[in-house]
Order: sequence, then structure tokens, then C-alpha cells
Amino acid sequence: MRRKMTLKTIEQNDIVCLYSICFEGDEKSEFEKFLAEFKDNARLNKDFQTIIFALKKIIEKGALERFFRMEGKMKDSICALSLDSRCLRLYCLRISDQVLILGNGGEKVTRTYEENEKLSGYVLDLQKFDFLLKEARKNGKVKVENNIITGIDKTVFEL
Amino acid sequence: MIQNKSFRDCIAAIPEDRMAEFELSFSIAERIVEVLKQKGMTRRDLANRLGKRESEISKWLTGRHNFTISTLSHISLALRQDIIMVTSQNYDVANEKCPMVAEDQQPYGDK
Repeated sequence: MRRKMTLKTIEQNDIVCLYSICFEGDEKSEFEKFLAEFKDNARLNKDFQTIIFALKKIIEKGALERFFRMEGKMKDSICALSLDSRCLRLYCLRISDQVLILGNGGEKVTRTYEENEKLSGYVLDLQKFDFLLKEARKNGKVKVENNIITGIDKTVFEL
Repeated sequence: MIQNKSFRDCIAAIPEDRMAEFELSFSIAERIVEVLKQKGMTRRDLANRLGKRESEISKWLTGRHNFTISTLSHISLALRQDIIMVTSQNYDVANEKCPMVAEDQQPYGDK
């Protein structure tokens, strides 16, 4: 079943813009769902706060490559924010130092994310979106200009 | 400038002591990056000098690593540059107040 989605701006300043994918019919973006799910989790509290702090630094310094762990496949831009090798991770699509797309995330208790249905779903959503965004850029529907994706607020993607 | 309330609330909920810990880890990583750049070295160069994998150096530079004293001293040696400096405060324990301890808990001096 194909799902429609848009990009919602989460935070933006002169240095960087953080977007998150938002599925049709959902009030919250995927990142906001991640926040709602884990902000009150006592067991994963430190992991969660580490990710929040990492995003705070990304907003101050930019989405620099060294802040992320690479995930996904070699050909995509999927990465993750986590505390060393600990369990909780937030999956992202790093477009550039100035544009970051936040997905959802969760606890990784298997050796790879592919072994976890929920996490692999989140990564797959970002991989599909990565492909669609590349197509939209090629077709001129959207354009990445410094810290914004112009035309993105009018664009609906179908996953 | 656009800000997200839910996200900002999460930042505000980080306790002061944990925020200080995060800031220190991050500052140390930034310092290592700065020194590598100054010396024209790559992560791989540092990894080779330390006998470690490049992936471990990358983990350090995320800003979220909890460094040990031992690791910091080895990094400083490998870079031939101090990564952190410890400030010392000389005070007369018998007569001076310890600045880190509350007034009514001062161990020495007239009460």
C-alpha cells in the first residue's frame, strides 16, 4: 500500500535545517513520534538525552558528518544518532552539512537493524524517501539551496 | 528561525549535571578535531599511531564518547599536544574554605 508523505520543518536557523517526514493523516512527524515515545522512558533516559544533546549541537554547528554513525547501505545517505554502541538510535538522512532529515528510531536489540521489523521499517522509509528526493531534485521539483529545500512544502511524496 | 516546542522541551529537561557531562565530552572531541586539523593529520593517521581502528577514532569524534584518563593521555601523546588542561587551585586547607563545599559544610577553620 502506497503512503503519501510530506516534509515538516522541525528546526531552522542560518546554519542548518532539520526536517522530518510526516505521513498523510498523522498529526506528528516521525521525529515527534520518537520524542513522544522515549522522552519519559526511565530506562533509556540517558541514551535519549544524548541524542537530544547531539541534535542541539547539530543545530549549533551543522549536520557535520562526524556527528553520525553510518547506517543503511553504501549508496544511500542513511545515518544514525546514538550513544556509542548503546541501544537507542534515531535514524536520519543526511543531505548535507546544512540539511538533515530526521526519521524515527528505537531500541536496537538485534545485531543488525534488518533483524528488527520496526527499525528496518524506519530505515526503509528513509531509503525510499532518499530515492524520491533524488528524483524530485533531478526533475527540478525541489532544490537544495544551502540550508533549505525549496519547493518542499508544496511537494507530496508517495512511498 | 524555526523551533519545535516538543524538541525544545526535551532539551530543557536535561539535568544540569548531565548537560555538563555532555558538553565536556563534546568539547574534548572538538579539541581532538582541532588538533588533527592543525597538524594536518587524518583520523587514519591518529588510528595508526594509537594502533587502533579508524572506526574507533570516528566514534570518539561523534562528541558522545565517555573518554577515560588513559585514553586521553594516549591521544595527547600520539598528537604530541595536550587535549585537556587541568587547572590547579592551591589553597591552605587548614585556613581556607574549599570553594566547592557549601558554607555550613566547611570542614576546617572556626565555625
